[in-house]
Amino acid sequence: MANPRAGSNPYFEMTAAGSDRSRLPPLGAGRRHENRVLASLPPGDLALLTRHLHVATLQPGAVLQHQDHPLEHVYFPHEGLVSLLAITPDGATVEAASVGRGGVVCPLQQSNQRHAFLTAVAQSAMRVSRIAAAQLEVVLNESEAVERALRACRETLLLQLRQNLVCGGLHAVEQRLSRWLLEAADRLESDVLPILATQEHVAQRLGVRRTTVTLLASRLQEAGAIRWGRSRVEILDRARLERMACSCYAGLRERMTPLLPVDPVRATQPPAG
Amino acid sequence: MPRFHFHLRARGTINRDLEGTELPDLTAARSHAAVVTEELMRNSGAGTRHWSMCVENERGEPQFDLFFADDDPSLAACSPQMRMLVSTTCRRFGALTDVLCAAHAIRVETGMLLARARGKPQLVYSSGT
Repeated sequence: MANPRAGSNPYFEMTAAGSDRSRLPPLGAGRRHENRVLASLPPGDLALLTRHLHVATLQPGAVLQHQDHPLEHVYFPHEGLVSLLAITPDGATVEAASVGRGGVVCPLQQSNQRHAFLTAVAQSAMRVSRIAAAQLEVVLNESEAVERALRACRETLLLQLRQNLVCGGLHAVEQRLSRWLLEAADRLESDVLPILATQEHVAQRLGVRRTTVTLLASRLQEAGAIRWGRSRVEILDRARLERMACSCYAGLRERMTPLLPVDPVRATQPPAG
Repeated sequence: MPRFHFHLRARGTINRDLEGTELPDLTAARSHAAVVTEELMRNSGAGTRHWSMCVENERGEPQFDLFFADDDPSLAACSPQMRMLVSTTCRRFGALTDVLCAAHAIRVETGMLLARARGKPQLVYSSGT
């Protein structure tokens, strides 16, 4: 896996804080941040963060943080999907949680020795804003709104972990696959899942063999719920796929919805000056 | 390395593993089939008991079958006669599934031949109903 240090990492394209602001249109009165958590912050609190945020483009497979290694940055996706994986010593993986533009790849532990709790991998080419963990610490002490937002993100990750524990232990793989497809679509905000959805890839998330995914995908396709193409999956019948998923899908969605970022109330007055 | 294809016979249909997996030999293929079987049976209750797997090599030649009921731990408490009955029934069910799928394929092909003979185009679906 690639080393997350920016300078030597072929998966990262970094822009310095100054130059990316000159390339992107300024976050003016009308334009909201692509990451929904950042977009939900009051402008003053967001400004405390943006001066430390760097935009990066990640390639598919880029590793944002390694399980049990020092945590260097916190990532706010603009798009796409980041998979949070638990890894065994011999390299087997299972997905513990996932984050799209509606969330943050945020620290889970509170201890002084800040290590990454899980390995985070970008699922497709995607833009992110990232901030050094140490700088985020400072902002968390300065801004209650940022602290609240990060706390809600942490809770959504813990809820996912809890649900995946139950699901992985008690539910049939066909149900888990149906649920995984639905949740990926929700985070990506699209019923078409692109390149990230090769069967080998999904097998590593569910902790099963690729053959198992192939056979179950065929059954889901037979039922008319999905179409699984060369390297993309399309959800054709959401209601049917939801019936084939376990209760974890609806249950988790219900618990997570109140914690998701809300659109800020737009100012109705025209800008001053 | 040789490539093996692990097809699944579920309720009346065959789900095909078109891509297959490269494995060193037949013994490894049997292990792989056993692992996949366990994953499909896991937490499925009795729902997958009648399923079976048929494994082919790259030339499409059948190598072996694996009947889920043979490895079902929930049947361990049953009498040997019961297990024998389940085992035989599953094998018959597997054979019936093969016949049903072959009949479906023949019906589709016959329809195509007839359409061609009449000079008419015909849409053919290869899977689903």
